[in-house]
Amino acid sequence: MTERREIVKTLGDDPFRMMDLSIEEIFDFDQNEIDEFQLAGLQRRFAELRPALPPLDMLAEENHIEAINTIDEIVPLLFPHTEYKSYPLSLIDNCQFEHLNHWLNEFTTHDLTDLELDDCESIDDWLNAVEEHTPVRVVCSSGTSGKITLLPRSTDEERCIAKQFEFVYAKFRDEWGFGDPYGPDVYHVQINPRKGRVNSCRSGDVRVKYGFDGDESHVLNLGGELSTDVLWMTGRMKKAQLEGTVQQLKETAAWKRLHAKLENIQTSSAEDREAFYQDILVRLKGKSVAMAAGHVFYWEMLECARKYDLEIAFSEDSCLCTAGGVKGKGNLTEEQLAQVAEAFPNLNDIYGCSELMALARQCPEGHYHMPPSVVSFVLDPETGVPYPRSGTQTGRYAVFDLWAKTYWAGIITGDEVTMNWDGGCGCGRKGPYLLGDIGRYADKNGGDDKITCQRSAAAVEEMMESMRNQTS
Amino acid sequence: MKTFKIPLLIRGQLIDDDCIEFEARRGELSFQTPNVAGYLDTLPLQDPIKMSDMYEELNMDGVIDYLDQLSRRLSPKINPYMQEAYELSCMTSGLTPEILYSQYCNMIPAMLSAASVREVAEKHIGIATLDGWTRHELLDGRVAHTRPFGARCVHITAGNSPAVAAITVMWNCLTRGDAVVKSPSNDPLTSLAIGRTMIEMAPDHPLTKHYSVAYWKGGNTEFESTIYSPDNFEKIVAWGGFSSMKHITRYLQPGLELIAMDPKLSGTLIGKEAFESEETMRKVAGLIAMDFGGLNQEACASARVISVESGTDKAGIARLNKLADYAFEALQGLPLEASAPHRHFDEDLLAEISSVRRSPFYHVAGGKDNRGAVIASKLPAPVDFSDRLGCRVANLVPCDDIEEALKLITIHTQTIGVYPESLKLKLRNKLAFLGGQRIVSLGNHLSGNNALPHDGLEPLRRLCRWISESDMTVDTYESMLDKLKRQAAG
Repeated sequence: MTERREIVKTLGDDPFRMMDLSIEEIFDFDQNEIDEFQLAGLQRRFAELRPALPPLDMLAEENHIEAINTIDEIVPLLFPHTEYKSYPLSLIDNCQFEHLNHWLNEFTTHDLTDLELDDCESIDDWLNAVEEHTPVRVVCSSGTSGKITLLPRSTDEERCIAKQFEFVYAKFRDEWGFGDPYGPDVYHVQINPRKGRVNSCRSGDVRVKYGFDGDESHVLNLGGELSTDVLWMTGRMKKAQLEGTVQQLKETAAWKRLHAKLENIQTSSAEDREAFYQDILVRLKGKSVAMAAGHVFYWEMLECARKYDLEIAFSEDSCLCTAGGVKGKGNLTEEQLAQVAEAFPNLNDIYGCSELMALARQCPEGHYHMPPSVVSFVLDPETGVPYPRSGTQTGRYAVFDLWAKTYWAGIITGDEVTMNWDGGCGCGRKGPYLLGDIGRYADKNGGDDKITCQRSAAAVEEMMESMRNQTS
Repeated sequence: MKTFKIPLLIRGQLIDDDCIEFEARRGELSFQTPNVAGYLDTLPLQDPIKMSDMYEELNMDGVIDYLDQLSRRLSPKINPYMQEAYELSCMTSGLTPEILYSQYCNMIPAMLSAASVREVAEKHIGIATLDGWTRHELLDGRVAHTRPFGARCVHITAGNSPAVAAITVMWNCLTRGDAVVKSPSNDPLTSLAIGRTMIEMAPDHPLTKHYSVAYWKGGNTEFESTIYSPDNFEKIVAWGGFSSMKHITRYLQPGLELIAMDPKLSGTLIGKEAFESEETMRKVAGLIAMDFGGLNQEACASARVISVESGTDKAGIARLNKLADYAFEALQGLPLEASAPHRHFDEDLLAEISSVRRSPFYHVAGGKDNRGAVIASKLPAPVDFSDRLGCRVANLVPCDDIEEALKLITIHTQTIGVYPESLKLKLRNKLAFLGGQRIVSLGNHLSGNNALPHDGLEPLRRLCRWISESDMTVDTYESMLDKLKRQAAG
């Protein structure tokens, strides 16, 4: 067996081994090689996880699937995007954390059954107990459906997230990027609180832990903590306001408990962000900066620089990325976007979705390349049937993250994508790629319920203000 | 893409030149229709005195006869305009061709027949009242006369059923108003087809001459803020969803009132008696299926969240699950002209159902394809997507005491189906205070009757302007003065 064949076989046997590869190597596989190790990886994950995860087992049984023989055969087993919030909202309203814990336990290979949860009064209390006694590290995202998504990642996956950020910021051929994104002269900037259970906070944790060996000084952020209860209540209150049921919400245990400790909750405000921009513009002048944020935050930074007459002068090798798609642009006008582009001339875009650890950066050709740790699918949006894995296909994006080994990471997303399956991008990366224009089906159907990272700060502020104004 | 031509109808005149094109729902169709912005001067009735022809030349017998004659011409079997409207609806509606065909061929003609419209007129206002000035002698000594008059109304109709188009015609004729109907994009032809039939039947009849139909894309604020003014209309009759209703309110001002056929959801209350025997359970399940399956759950009167006094302990939940299974089974047995698998099943709803099926907090009967589902909650709360239940998906919610379910009844509740009858009598006042509008026996969610109030109001009365004329002659004045003097002395 040639060395190359051996690598492909190894990656199939253990997708984690992709972590040992460099960015040049990860994008140097031919499609048949990718197909081979991805299929082997899917088979392995299905065999390992089905016995441990009852919802997956039920799905397999319903679809009469015992084995995976082709990549597309996994599609009926992908979870809809609603799966990780399929618990009843009343469980949070009424602070029934035993029930929630029981629900979550079915989605992770780790055992949550023996936790002592009697004293838990909030989501934070519950998840603190989970994290104290088990390796599970739940990732949350909020929406105006009033529920938060609870994705049960664990410490087993943490290193993968750090590695994915390395892929995003690493230099590919003569493109932008760092030789070592976690090098001693590189600073990662995040416009989010230090602690919290949203993706951005979690990624800060792992970059400190695995990228910089615990050295906090290389990952700069707003500090403080985004309480999961505050994040949840932000979406929950929006739902109640839309329905005209704020009064009923105020009767719930969750409201009363959060309202009682409102004064002790810290959230970050526009002023906090301004102080942060001032600090980094001064402190990181001439330094190598890695940053990914919505256009709105770049605009805020630009305004801050103007206000205090500060120069935007990070080192030229800095990797400044935009994220969040259309939502990341907020309500910025064309003129404001043009000013952002002028002040930050080398902005590059990255694409990701909250269910995925991997991120795809936009290459000089304008395409997004997912690393092959992610199996991609393009589905017919009406029927959910996969389109052929050849040619150019437009439809609903579905993914399977092979690096997730303690939960089922096969998800049908809400995104509409166009995929070129035949590869051959001019940037030199092999494998399929996504064309630049990525939309959300929810937008087409009249509105998006997601409170994205880019919008959460303002949404949280709004909720806190509203809650303060409500008498208990 | 199939293109439909939609002429503009203004008081007996059809206009079909200078058309512009609109893409219709689901992107499969396009409509060509004259740009209505060019007809701002003629679409609203500028001179309200012109409504007098309907009063001088016509009495209620004549109105009822006109509607009856019209009803006999509306079946698509004999009417190419209605056939075309039916064919378009088959493409845009959430209702199946079988249900639509039954509505076009049976329901609409029956609704406009003489006996039916006579009952509607009699129950809501009274034919004698509609036909002339009613004399009153009042305590203060005066003689007064009152009479309802038709108004200039713009009707923003809904397209979830072609019946809305027929109801609008009936209301306008019975009140003798001047109607401008704004057709919905999912049914732009039914109102027009009825109008064209009127023209063929009686081109010079006053009722034909006070009926106009236009299509424009709703939300065109520049056009709408010009046309929706008290100079043009006294009333806006709006059917529709929450966002379109909110949109309409921006045009309201003194002199222009809104008659709101609000977005509504309906609720159902089932007492513990449903579990008295296996036979009763089957019967109740059949009634539940009719209430959420009928009209493919496209109506606001359709059942969605169904509270059941099953008990919330283990045995209670087992009972509830069984009832869910029976109801799903009964749903599959409904006749095609009443209910059928949805052709455009809401994919987000399907995803939600798929997820809750694997959750330990729900039991789901069906829900794997487009045949619908009955979701039984195991906790006493509806599913979190209860506001999106449709496509023949119901949610059974357990409770220990049916009165606990009253918290689900709000001002947004329309129909409430109740089982058994004794519970209906016990709860009807409470349900009314909480916001419920229409209280029916289980199985009758969809058996509406136009002779009864609609959406908590009496539309026929609201469509009229109620005028009084007081007789204050010198004689009356003197007798009043005498009375006052006697009171002062006495």
